[in-house]
Amino acid sequence: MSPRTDYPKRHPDSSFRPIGDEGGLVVLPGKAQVKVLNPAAIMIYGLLDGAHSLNQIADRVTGDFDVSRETAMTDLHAFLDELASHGMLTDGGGDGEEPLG
Amino acid sequence: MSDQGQGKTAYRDMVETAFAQSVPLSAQFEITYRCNHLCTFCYNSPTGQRELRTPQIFEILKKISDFGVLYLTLTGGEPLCHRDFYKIAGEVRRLGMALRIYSNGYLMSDPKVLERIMALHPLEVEISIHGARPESHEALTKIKGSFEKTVKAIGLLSEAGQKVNLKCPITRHNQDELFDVKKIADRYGYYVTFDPVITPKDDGDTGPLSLSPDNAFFTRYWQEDYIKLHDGRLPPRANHCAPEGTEAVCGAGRTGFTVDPYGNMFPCVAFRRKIGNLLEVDKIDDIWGESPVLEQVRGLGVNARDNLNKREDGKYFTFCMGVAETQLGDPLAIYPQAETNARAVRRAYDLLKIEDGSGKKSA
Repeated sequence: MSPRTDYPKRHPDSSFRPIGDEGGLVVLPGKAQVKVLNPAAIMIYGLLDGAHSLNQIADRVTGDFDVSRETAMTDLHAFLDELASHGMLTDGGGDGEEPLG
Repeated sequence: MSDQGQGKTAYRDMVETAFAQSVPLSAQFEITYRCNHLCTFCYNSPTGQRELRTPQIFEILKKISDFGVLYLTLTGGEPLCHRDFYKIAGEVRRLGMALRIYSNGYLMSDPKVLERIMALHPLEVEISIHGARPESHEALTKIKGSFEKTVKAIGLLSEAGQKVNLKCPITRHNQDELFDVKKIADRYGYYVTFDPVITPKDDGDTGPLSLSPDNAFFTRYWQEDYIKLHDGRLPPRANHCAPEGTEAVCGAGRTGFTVDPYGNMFPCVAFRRKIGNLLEVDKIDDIWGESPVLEQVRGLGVNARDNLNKREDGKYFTFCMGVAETQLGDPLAIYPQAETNARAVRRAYDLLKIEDGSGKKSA
């Protein structure tokens, strides 16, 4: 499963909160569920605003964490697939919103 | 990624970090003091001021959301008595916060109401139940037929697959039928939280304390009865309002806050020191980090913990600074209910030969 856009955007009904250096929490839209995200995942989640491209996000991951560009992009795609499977992404992108937190 | 079910440790770690760093994850919004019950022990103390209009509630919800709160509880009064309840709850969801509804359940006995509630996808609904019989429940609510409607609502919520937490404040009226209350909860697959501490009203009126259970009850409650009522769990030894080992006695001013129907912000639903009015600030961040009230409350939480640590029986205390302040005028003063409970819990630990808070009994 591939991301639907080069400018992925999180679902507008999901809220999230980075907490310290340990990651953060995300409330799933329309479900009584909360997800725990690790530090890389919560950082990426904050960048899914429809304004950041996949390449830009991968650059941030490479800059902030000790991973190669190739690994960062592979992990990013896997993460986006997982988010999409939980209904945590919107179909479109482009009109960016300010990341929370 | 992991969720609450699969990663309880990761979730607990996250909550503990939030506590340590004073990151508020939850808030309670009392959207109205109107209620369709007349509970004699209700802690609400309406001032007679005009309550927030719906656009003002929306404005405050936006500030709460922008502040990063994840869990928002709509409460009251009875929140469903607000004429714009569904609009307000819908706005909570639209802003992306997880919705909790704390209700007496009365209006949810109407399937049409329940349908609208379910459409909001609440994370959790909390329902108060005051007894296992109409006589005991309605002795407190003062509304004939309220028991039947509340139990019907519980059944409908269960059928709909909604997560529900039942809450039962223990009073002299229901202290002898707690097992029957548990049977009602069991029938619908829900957990019931029994609260043995009746608190004064927010304005300091101690009238509700006359409804507290008697001491003989506490002796029974904190021993074998507790274990049976709580699916084998042992009585909590330490304060349940803070993770074990933390520096403060509770999360007041740290992990959450409460907003009243006038827009006033407080450190906790029980600790009513006004931090500010949310209509008068641009952002909650502006007061969360700088409020002298919050700084004081956070310090008091540490002082309260220190005071309990100095007591020989301190580790058995569930202590609420808000109750202490309302009842005795001093947030660090030991109020009688806390002492009674601590004595009973200690006795239980001695009798049951519980070694520590891990839930293990000694041989």
